[in-house]
Amino acid sequence: HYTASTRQAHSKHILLQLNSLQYTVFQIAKEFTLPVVCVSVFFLCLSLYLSGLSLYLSGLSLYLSGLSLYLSGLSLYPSGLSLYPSGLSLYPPGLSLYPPGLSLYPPGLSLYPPGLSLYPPGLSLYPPGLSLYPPGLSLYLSGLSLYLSGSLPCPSVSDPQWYAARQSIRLDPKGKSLKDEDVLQHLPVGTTATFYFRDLGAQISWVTVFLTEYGGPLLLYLMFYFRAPFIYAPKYDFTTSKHWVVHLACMCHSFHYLKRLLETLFVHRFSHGTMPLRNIFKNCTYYWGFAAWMAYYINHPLYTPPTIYGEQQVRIALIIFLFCQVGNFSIHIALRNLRPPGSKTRKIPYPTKNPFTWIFLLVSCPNYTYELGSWFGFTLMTQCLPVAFFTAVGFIQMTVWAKGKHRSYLKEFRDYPPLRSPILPFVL
Amino acid sequence: MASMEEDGSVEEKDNNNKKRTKSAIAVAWLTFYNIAMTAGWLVLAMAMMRFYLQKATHKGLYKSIARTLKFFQTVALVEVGHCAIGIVRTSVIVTGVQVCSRIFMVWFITNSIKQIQNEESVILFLVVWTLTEITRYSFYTFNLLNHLPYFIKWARYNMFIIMYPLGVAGELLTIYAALPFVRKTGMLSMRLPNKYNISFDYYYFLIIVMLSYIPLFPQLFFHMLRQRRKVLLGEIIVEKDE
Repeated sequence: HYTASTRQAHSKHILLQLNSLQYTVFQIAKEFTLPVVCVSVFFLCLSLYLSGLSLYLSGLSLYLSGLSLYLSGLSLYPSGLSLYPSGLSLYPPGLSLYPPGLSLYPPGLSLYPPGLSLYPPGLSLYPPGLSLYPPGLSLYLSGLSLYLSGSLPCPSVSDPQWYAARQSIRLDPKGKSLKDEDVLQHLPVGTTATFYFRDLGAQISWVTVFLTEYGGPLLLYLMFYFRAPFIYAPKYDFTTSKHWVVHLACMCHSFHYLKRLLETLFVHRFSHGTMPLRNIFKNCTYYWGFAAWMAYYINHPLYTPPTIYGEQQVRIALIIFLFCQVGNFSIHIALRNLRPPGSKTRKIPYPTKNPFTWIFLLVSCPNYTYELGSWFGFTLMTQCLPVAFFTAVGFIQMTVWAKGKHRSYLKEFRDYPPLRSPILPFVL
Repeated sequence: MASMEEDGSVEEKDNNNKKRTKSAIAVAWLTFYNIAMTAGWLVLAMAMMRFYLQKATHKGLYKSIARTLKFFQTVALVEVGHCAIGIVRTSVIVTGVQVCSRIFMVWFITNSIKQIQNEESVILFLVVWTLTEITRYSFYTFNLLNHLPYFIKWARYNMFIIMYPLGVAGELLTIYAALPFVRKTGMLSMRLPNKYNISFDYYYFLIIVMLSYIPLFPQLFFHMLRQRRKVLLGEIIVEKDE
C-alpha cells in the first residue's frame, strides 16, 4: 500500500511521488489487458494474411471457381483424410495435418463449431482474381492465435490505457528502465522517491509473436508442397514432385519449424514478457516472405535437384542438418536449465554431459551457430539460391545478436572464459 | 531465436560540417568533391539547354548528354563512402538508398532500354535532377566554406517541395513507358529450370519498384519537410524517442 500524493500527467513524463515503503515496482503497475492484445493480434493476422496475397499478379483464376475444389470433399492425404468435406467445418476436432498420429492442437478442440461453413458458396472475401490460400486459413490462423493468446494469464477487467507491460518506470528520464522485481527499499531513493514514466507503445507478448512468426512458414511451406491451386499452373495442382529431395526438404523444413513452435511453448524461458507491437509485422514479413520464396522454388514442377554431387550431397547435407538440429535443441535445453523457473538470475553457460553442448568451450552463442549450420545444410540439400539468401541474411542478423550477447556477457561477468568467440569458433 | 530489444532510431543530420574535429584533409577533399560535382551538373545543365536551343526538340537530347550524366551520377557513389568513413554525418543506409535509386534509373532503365530515351518524362526527371543537384552541391560547398548565402539555403529547403514530386513523376512515367519493351525482350530475366533454382523477371521487378515508391516517397518527403522546419523556420522538433 502506498499513497500517491501528487499525480501530474503530461505528454511524455508522469511524476509519481511515493512514500518509500517496502513495495515492489511491479505492484504499482496494473495488469495486462487481454482484449486489446487479442483484438489487435486478430486483426494483425488477418491483415498480414490479406497483404500476403498480393504476391501474385497474373494468371489467377477467380476465387469462386477455386472454391468448388474445396467444397467437393477433395482428399489431400494418402491416408484418406479430407481437409474440406463439403459444406462442413474446415477443421473438425482432432484433425491431423501431419503423418497420422500427430495433431497440431489438442484433440477435441474445435475452433469452429461443426457444420458452420465459413465460406458459403458465392461469397468471396477477396477481390476477384486474388485468391491464393484455401479459404478459412486466415480465420484459422487468427483463431489459433486467439486461442494461444487466451492461454496467457490475464484478468478481464476494463482496461486502463497504460497496462503494465507498456510502462517504463525509471529514476532518471534518460536512464535505464527499472525491473519488475526491483524493491523500493533497495533503490537509491530517500524518504520520497520520484519516478519517471515513459510509454513504450503498444506491446505484444513474445510467445504470441514467436508462435505467429513460426506458424506461418510451417503452413505456407506445406501449401506450396501440396501445390495448392493458384500457385503453379493448374495442371500441377495437388500433384507431388517426382524428386525425393523435395519430400526430404519438406520434412526437414516442417520439422524445424515444428521444433521451434514446441520450444517456444515448452522450453524457452523469456526474460522479457513483451515486445513492441510493430515487431510482429517486421518479423512475420521476414519469416513468411522468405518461407514463401524458398518454398515456391523447391516445390516448383521445374525444380532441379542438386547436380554438383547429386545424392551424396543430399545425404551429407541431411546429416549436417540433423546434427545441427539436435545441437540447437541441446543448447536450448542447457540454457533453460541454467535458470530455475521463475527466477531471473543470469549465469554463464558451461558445457554439460551432452556432447552437443561442448561447443560452449569455443562459442558464446552456440544456438546461433547450430542454427546457421542447419540452414547451411538445408541450402546444400536443396541447392536453391533463395535458401542461400535466407541463410546469409539470417547469418548476418544472428552475428549481430551474438556479438551483442557476447559483449554483455563480458561486461557482466569478470571471469568469462576468454577462449570463446561470439558465433563462429575463433573466427567471428 | 531470441531477438534483442529495439534498435535505436537513426537520425539524419543534414549539416555535414557540424563535426568540429574533422581533419583538414577531409574538409579539403569534401570541398573539392562538392565543387567538382556542382561544376559537373552545371555542365550538364548547359549542355541540355544548348541542345534544346539549337535543335528546338528534346529528341536526341538524352543521347547527347548520356555519357556526362552517367559519369557524374555514378561518381555520387563516393558519397556513400563519405558516410561510411564518418566525414559526413548522414546515415549510410539513407544515402545508399538514394544513390542506388539514381544509379538504377540511369544504368538499368534509360541506358539499357534505348527506346524510351526520347520520352518527355526522361527530360522531366533530368531537369529536376539537374536543378536539385546543383542546389544541393553548392549548398554543401558553401557550408564547408562557412559562407552560406541565404538564397542557397532557401533554395535547398524550398525547391524540393516542387522538385521532389516532379522528379518522382518523371521517374515513374519513364519506368512505366519502359515496361512493354522489357516484356518483349525479356531482358535481365532468368527462367526455370536452372541449376540454382531461382528465377527473376525484370518486368515484375520493375512493377514492384514502382509500387515501392508509394511507401518510400512520403517518408523521404516528410523527412525533408521536417528538416525544413528545423533549419529554415527554426522550429524545435522533439524527436519521438523509444
